[in-house]
Amino acid sequence: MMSACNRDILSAFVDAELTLPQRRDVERHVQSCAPCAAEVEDLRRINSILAAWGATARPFPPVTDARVASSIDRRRGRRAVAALSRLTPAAFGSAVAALVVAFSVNSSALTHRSSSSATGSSLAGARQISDSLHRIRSQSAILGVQVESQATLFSPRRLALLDVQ
Amino acid sequence: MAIALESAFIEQLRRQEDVAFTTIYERHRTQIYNYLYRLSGSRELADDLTHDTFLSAYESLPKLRPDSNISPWLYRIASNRFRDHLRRKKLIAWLPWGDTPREDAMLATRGEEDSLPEKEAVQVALKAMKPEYALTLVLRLVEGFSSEETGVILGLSPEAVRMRLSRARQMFKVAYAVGGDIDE
Repeated sequence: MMSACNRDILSAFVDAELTLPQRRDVERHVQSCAPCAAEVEDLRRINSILAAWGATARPFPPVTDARVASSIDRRRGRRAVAALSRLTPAAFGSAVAALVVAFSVNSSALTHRSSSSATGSSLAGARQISDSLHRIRSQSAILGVQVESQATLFSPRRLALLDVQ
Repeated sequence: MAIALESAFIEQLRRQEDVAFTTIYERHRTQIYNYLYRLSGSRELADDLTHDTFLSAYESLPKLRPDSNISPWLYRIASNRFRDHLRRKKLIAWLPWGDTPREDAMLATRGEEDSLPEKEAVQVALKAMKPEYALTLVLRLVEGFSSEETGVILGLSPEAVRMRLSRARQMFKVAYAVGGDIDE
C-alpha cells in the first residue's frame, strides 16, 4: 500500500517501472488523492512535450563526414610517424632504404592489393614482397644499413602504418 | 549465431578496421548529431561535437569491451564531449531552437506560430536546469533509452537514474512554467 504521496514513485509509475502490485497500489491511491492524480497528469504531459520536441530530426550535414574522415586519416598518419620514430637509427635507415628500393625495384609487388581479390593473388603478392626483401637486403648491405627481419620490419601492421601494403 | 557475429564485429572494431568503423558511423551519426543538437541548440556546435565524438570513439576502439553495446557507448562519449564543452565554456549554450532568434522569427511567420514557441520553451527550460538532470531527461524521455541504458551512458545505477529522472521532471516542470527563470 502506498503510505504517502511520493513523487519518485509517481515518476516510476508514469514510466511503467513498477511491479504489477506496486502499480495497482498507485492506481488505487491516485483515485482517492487529487494532488497525486494532478501530479500524474503533469508528469504525462511533460513526457508528451519532450517527445514532441524530440520528434523533429535534422538531416546529418555532409560536411561532417569529410571532417571525421580527414581527422581519422591525420591520426593514422601521426601514428605511422610515431611508429617510425620509435625505430633505432639503424632500423630507421633500413626502413627508408627498404621503402626506396621497394618502390623503385618492384612496384608491382606493392600494388598487388588492388588486384588481390582472391587468396591466390594475395599469396602471389606475398611471394613478390618476399623476393623484394631479398633484393632489399642486398641493397641495404651495399648501403651499410642493417635490415630488420621480415617479421618485424614488414609485419602487416607496420606495412599498414606505412601505407604501402 | 547472432552473438558470434556480434562478437566478430566487436573484434573488427577493436582492430580499428575501416569497414566496421564505417558501419557504426553510418548507422549512428544522425542520432548522435541530433542528440548533440538538442543539447546544444546549435548546428555548428552539434557538428563540432559529433566530429569530436566519432574521433574519440575511433581512438577508443581498441579498448572496446567484448560485451559492449555500441549505441549507449557512443552516447556516453557524446555526453562526455558535451560536458567537456560546458566545462570549457563555463556556461550552458542552450540556445533557442534554430541557430538564431532571427531565424526563429522568420520561421514563425510561415505558419508555425504554435509549434515554434513550444520548442523554444523546451530549450529554454532545459537550459535553466542543471546539466546532469537535463542529460538524464533527454536520454530517458527523448532518446528513448531505458533506465539501465541511461545508467550505462551517465555512469549511474538504474535506481539513481530513476531518482534523478524524478527530480529532473520537477525541475523541468518549474522551468517550463516560468520560462526558464528558476534558481538552480
